[in-house]
Amino acid sequence: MKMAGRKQIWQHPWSYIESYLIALGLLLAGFLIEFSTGAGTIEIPAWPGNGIILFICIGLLLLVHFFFRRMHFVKWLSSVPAAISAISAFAFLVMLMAVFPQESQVGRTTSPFGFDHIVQSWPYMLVMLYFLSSLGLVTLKRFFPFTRRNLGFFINHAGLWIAIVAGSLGTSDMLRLTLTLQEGQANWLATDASGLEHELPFAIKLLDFSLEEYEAKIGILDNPKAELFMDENNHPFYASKGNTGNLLGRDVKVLDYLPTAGKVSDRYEPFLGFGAPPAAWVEIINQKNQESKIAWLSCGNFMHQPDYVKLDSNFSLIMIPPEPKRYRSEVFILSEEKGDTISIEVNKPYQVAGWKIYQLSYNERMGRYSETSVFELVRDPWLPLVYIGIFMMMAGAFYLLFTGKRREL
Amino acid sequence: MNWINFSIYAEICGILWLASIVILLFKSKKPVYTAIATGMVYVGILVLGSFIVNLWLTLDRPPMRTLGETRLWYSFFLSIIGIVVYHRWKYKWLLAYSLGMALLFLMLNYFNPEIHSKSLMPALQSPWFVPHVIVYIFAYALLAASSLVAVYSLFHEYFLNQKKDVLPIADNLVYIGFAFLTLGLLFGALWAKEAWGHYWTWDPKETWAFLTWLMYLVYIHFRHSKPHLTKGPLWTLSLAFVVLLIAWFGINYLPSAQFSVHTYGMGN
Ligand code: HEM
Repeated sequence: MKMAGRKQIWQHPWSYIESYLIALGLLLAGFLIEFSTGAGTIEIPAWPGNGIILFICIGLLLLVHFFFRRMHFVKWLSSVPAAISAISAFAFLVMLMAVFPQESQVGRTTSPFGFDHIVQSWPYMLVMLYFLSSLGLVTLKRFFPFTRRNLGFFINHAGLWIAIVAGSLGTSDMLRLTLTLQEGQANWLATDASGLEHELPFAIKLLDFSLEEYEAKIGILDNPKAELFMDENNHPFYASKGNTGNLLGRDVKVLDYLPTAGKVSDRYEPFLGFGAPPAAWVEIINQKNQESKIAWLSCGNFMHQPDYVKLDSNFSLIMIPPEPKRYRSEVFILSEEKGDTISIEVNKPYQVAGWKIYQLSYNERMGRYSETSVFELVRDPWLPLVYIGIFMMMAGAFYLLFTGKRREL
Repeated sequence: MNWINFSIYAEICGILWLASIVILLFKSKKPVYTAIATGMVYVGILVLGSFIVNLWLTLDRPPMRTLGETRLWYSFFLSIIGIVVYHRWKYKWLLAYSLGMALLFLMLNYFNPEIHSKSLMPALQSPWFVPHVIVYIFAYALLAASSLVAVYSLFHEYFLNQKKDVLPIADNLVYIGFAFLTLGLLFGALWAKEAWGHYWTWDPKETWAFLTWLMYLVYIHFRHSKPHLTKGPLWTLSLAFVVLLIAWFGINYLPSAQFSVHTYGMGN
């Protein structure tokens, strides 16, 4: 290779060969340690342990930068070859994650080399240490002394460092709990993934759960398999009044659609009561013999039987239960400072006392008539730091967008 | 449907953009022509924009609930990003490309009116949805272009024994594409926090996109340290393209599963 020139390997300054050997060595060492320690997951300590780790890391980086930066080793660590080998090793581990399913969290792993819990494995820890040292040192190298020309470089590299470090150290302080409430019920205890109860600094009372649905669709049921049948030519379509579709050689026209209906002998009428399912009045014309038939379809629900039309021994025309459009909970939240009636829905979490409350689920069997709401509660005290990193990188991306590659001579 | 006069707006906008694409690709030497072409892009954006405003007012809510409504925003912002990037970097084919994509989404709505109302599950009904997807479309378009340029040059080098100095073009494409890819990842993270409670969960989609990001990161740094090498960077770009393809199809494929048979089992 040209780049090595006359230089012997391991003779300074180190370049790509040495960097890649070191990255490879770290990966191998990591997998060996992982294997010999018996596939446990590595847990990052919670506060204040992770705070101390952060403090030591920043201290070490500053120390090395200001007192040892003229050492060959340090110069190499903040050079592009080291950076590229670190990024490659990281990419290799990410590829393992993209290929092998990750068990994620809570003990119980089966892969002796840690393939199913990469982010909590030894090779990951060693590679991240290498990656973050390299990234940290080069950021400092270009930050002191600071020039405007280095602004783009700084927000990109420092932003990435902050986001990764805060995100990784913060995992152990993050709490994700779920809380299930019936309408009228209140609680201040929520459970984590392992079933442990945690006390919240506020109480939540579910006042009302409400769910809006899309219109139901009409489709084909494969009777023997008891599942929905669908292909290029047979797509379920909305049962809106006046809509037409073509399924299995039949023209299907929707004469009427009732979002909530009650059955009266063999017809359906609009009905608003609890548990009323949707129903559609359809005309079915067989294209082969022009035979026409008019019938009621209903998907039924937890209280009512469905109504469908048998087309032949294998297939039936059915109504598919409507999909949820939006759902939300009216809740009363009582914290030490105040009580508030608010509404929480998907994509619109509510923030209180360092927690975010998410609308997670409901009683899916009962759909729009669910009187149960399931919330997720998340506390992540490191989030602001992660966001600082993310916003720096966003600014950095705009910077790249408008400057492009700088032509150096 | 309740899409008042959509076909008229779509036809005007479609004709303007189509004409503009033709001029950009075939008649673009004289400044007069490019001025006409960009002018038509702007008028098209205005027409589509006024339709969106109109729809917003009639529906009395932001039109962001259905797949069809979302496609309107794709068209709208793809054309805007296309013209902004064009003014900065002067790549005519890129403007033509983004107009083509914008046109595609517009035509999907035009020819499939019933799809207007295809339902979006609640988690997708977010102000982040549209920027996240558009920025990704753009990033992938640019990065794919850079890799094609690389493959083209490798082909010339190995089979025709000619040198093509494409790296400066590839660099620019990668820088802009990489910036969009970064934005896509970060928008995705911010949205995930709002919708699912955590900003990064290493799900397969995220993981492949991140891997793609790392590949181009290697390219950027390699070019920085060895500006005079050509084959290494070119091979890196070609390899990155393979990863990108996996990420691309992964991303297009997975969300679609949410709209199908999945939801059927729920009600039973
Ligand atoms: C957000 C991600 C990143 C972006 C956008 C980015 C971008 C860049 C750019 C554009 C340069 C050219 C230098 C210049 O501006 O003059 C550069 C240089 C460099 N980057 Fe990165 N980079 C990123 C991540 C990393 C990482 C993860 C590492 C290390 C592990 C790294 C290490 C380096 C090094 C060592 C240089 C050379 C600095 C010098 O020669 O002074 N970068 N980077």
